[in-house]
Amino acid sequence: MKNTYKLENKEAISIILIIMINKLILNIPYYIVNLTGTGSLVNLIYIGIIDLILSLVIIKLLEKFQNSDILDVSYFLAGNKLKNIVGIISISLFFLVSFITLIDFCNVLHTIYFSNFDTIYIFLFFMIGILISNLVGIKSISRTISFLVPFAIISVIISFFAVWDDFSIQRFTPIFGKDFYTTFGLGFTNSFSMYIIVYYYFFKPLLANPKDFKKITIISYLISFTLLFITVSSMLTLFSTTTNNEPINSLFLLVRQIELGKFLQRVDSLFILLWILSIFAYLSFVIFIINRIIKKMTNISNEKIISFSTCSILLGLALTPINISKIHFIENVVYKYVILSFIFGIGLIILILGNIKKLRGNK
Amino acid sequence: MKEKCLVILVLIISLFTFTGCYYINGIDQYYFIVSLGLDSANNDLLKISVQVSSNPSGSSQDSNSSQSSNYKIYSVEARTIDEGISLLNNALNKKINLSHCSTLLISEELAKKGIRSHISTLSNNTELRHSCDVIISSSSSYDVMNNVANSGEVFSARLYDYLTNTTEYTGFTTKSPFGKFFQALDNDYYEPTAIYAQVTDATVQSAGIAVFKHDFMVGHLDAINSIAHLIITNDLNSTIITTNNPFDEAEQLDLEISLYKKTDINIDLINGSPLISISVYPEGTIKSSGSTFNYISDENINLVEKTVNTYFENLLREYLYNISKNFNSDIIGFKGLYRSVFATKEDFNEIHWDEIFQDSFFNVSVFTEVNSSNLFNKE
Repeated sequence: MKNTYKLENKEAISIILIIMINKLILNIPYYIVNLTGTGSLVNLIYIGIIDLILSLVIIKLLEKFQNSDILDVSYFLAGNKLKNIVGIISISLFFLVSFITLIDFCNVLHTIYFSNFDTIYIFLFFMIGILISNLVGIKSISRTISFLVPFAIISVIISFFAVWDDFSIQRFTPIFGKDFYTTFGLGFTNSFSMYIIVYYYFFKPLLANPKDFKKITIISYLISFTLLFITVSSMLTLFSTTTNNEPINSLFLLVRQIELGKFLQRVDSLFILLWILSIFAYLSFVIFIINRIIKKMTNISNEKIISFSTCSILLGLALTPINISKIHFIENVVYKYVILSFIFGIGLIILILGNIKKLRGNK
Repeated sequence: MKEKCLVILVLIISLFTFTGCYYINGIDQYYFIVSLGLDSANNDLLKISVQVSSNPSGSSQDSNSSQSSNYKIYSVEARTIDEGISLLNNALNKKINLSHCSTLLISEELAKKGIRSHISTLSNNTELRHSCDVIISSSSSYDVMNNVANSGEVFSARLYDYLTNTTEYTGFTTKSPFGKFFQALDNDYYEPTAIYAQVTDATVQSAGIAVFKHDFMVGHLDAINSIAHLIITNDLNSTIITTNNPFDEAEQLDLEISLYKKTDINIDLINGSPLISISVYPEGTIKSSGSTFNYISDENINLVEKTVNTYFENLLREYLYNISKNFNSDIIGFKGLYRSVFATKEDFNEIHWDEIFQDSFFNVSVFTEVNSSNLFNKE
C-alpha cells in the first residue's frame, strides 16, 4: 500500500509541534540558558524575530513552486545531481537529529528508570515501534501525533507551574545577561532552537491543502515559540546561570519539582510515559521523511519497504559506543552548526537561486 | 484457519504473563530508610547512618504494627556516601533504598566543613526525593536518630514531621526541602538555609535556622531571629510574639502575627555601601493581654500597633546586622534584587557585591495592623 495520504492542516500543525516538544524534552532550552544566562528571554525574542522572518522568506520563496519541497527545487535548479546532493545532506541531517534524540532519551530512561537493563533493549523498544508505525503509514503516525500533542503541550505548561513559587524577577535579571555581545552576537547561534524550520523546507508536498502552507507555518511557528519561551523561563527559574551544572535532562528535573500536595508525589513518571510516546511519534515521522527523501532520489514506488533499512541504520548509529561528552559535543556544537548551515545556508540559497531561475525562465 | 492460529498464538503468548518473574525486585528486598544521617568521622571519613523501621516491610504483621515506632540505626564509616551505602548493602540482608527517605540529617560539625560534594552526590541520586527535608543537627545525626522516636510519633513516614512542619505555626525555623537547598547552594541569588535541630534531654526540637555561606555552615539563627527571617522572605505563615503590654508594665501582650502584604525591599548604593530599606507589614491578632483590656478604642489599638512596630523594628534590625556583619551571608537574596537594576552582569560585577555586603546598613519600617482580638474585645 502506497503512502498517498495527505496531511490535514491540524495534523500538519501537530507534527510541527511534536517536533518542537521533542526538542524541549531534550536539553535544547538548557543550552540556550547556558549560553545567554539571564539574557535568554531577550535573546529568545531576538532569535524568534529572526527565525520568523526566515520562515516568512521560505514561504515567499516556495510560493512559486506549487507542491514542491527543497528537493524538487534543487531538481528544477540543477537537475538530478543537485537533488541527490541535497537529498544526501538532508538524510544525514535527519539521521543525526534522530540518532541524537534516540540515544539521548534512551540514556535518560536508562539512568532514571531502567538502570538494570541494557540500553539495547530500550533502543529496540523504540525501533520496533518506529518500524511498525512506518509500515502502517503516515496516516497512523499523523493521527497519533494529533492525539498526543494536546497532552504534550499540557505537560510543558504544567512543568512551567512547577516552578511557579520560585518565579521572581531576580531570576531574569540583568535582562541583557552577561553582556550585549553574548546576548546578541554569540546568542544568534541559539536560532538553531527553532529547528522546526528545517521541516518547512520539506512540508509543502505533504499537505492536503498546499495553499494553507503559510497559515500552517505561521501558526505552528508561533505556538512552538511560545512553548520554547515558557520552557526557557522555567529553566531560568530553576537553574543557576552562573554554574555549569549540566543536567541529564532539564525538563525532567523541572517536573521532579511537581508535587500535588503530600499525597501525590513523583508525578514525573507520568510525564516520562507521555514523553516516551512523543519521542516515538517524532522519530516515526523523521524516519518517514527520510524514506520520502530516499523515494524522491531513487524514484522507487513505495517507500514503506525502505523502513527496514532506515530503522536498521538508526539502530546501528544508536549502538555506536559514544560517551556523554561526545553526545554533549554533538548536541551543543555539531548539531547547532549543522542546523544553522541548513536553514540559513543550503536551504535558503537553493530557494533563492530557484526563484531567480524561475524569474529568468518567465522572462 | 488463519484466525484460529492467531488466537492460539495470542493465548500462548499471554500464558507467560501468568508466570512469576525470577528477577523481580519486590519491596521485600529493600530497606526503605526513614532518614539518612551524615557525620564527620576520624581520618577524614564520613559516618553514614541510616534509620529503618525495625519491622521489615512485607512481613506478615498487621498494617498498624508495620509502621510502629521501633527503629534500627545502622552506621558505617566510609570516604563517600555511595561507598558507605555499598558497605551497608553488603552488611545488611536487604538493599538500601532512598525513595522513602523523608529527612537528610547532617551534623553541624560536618556542615561547617562544607557539604557541597555530599549534596552533589545526593542530587545525582534518582531515588532521593526533592521533598526530603534537610536538617542540620547541633550534635551528631546519630544522636538525632536515637532520640527522635521519643517524640511519640508512631508512623515512620511522619517521624520527622514535627521538626519540619513546626514552621507553619511557630515560625521558629524554615522549610528546607532538599531540592530548594540544592538550588540555593547552586545559585548566586541567595545563600542556603536549613532547619536547625537541637538534641536536649533525649528529645529533639527545631531551634532555628542553620545559615550557610556557599556550602559552609557559618552559624545559626535562634527561634526569634527565624521569625524575622520568615517575615523578610515572606514565608511567615503565623507565629506568636510576646511583647511588653503598653497599658501595664507588669503584664505581657501576646499576638498572633501573619503578614497582610509582601515585604518591600529597596536597595541603594551610598558611598560604596549598600543601604537596604525594608518595609514589613505584619498583621496581629491579640491573644492575651493581661487582666484588663479595651480594644474597641482606636487609641488603644494605635498604642498596641506602635509597641509591635518598635518590637519588630528592633528584632529585624538585630537579625539583619546579624546576617550581614556576623555571618556575611546573603540568605535573603539582596544580591539578586539589586542585580535587577543593572542591564548586564558585567555592569553589576563592577560593584563587587560580595565584598561590600558586609558593610550594608539597614532602614527598617514596620506597619503593623492589629485588626482583631480573640473572643473578647473589652473587659
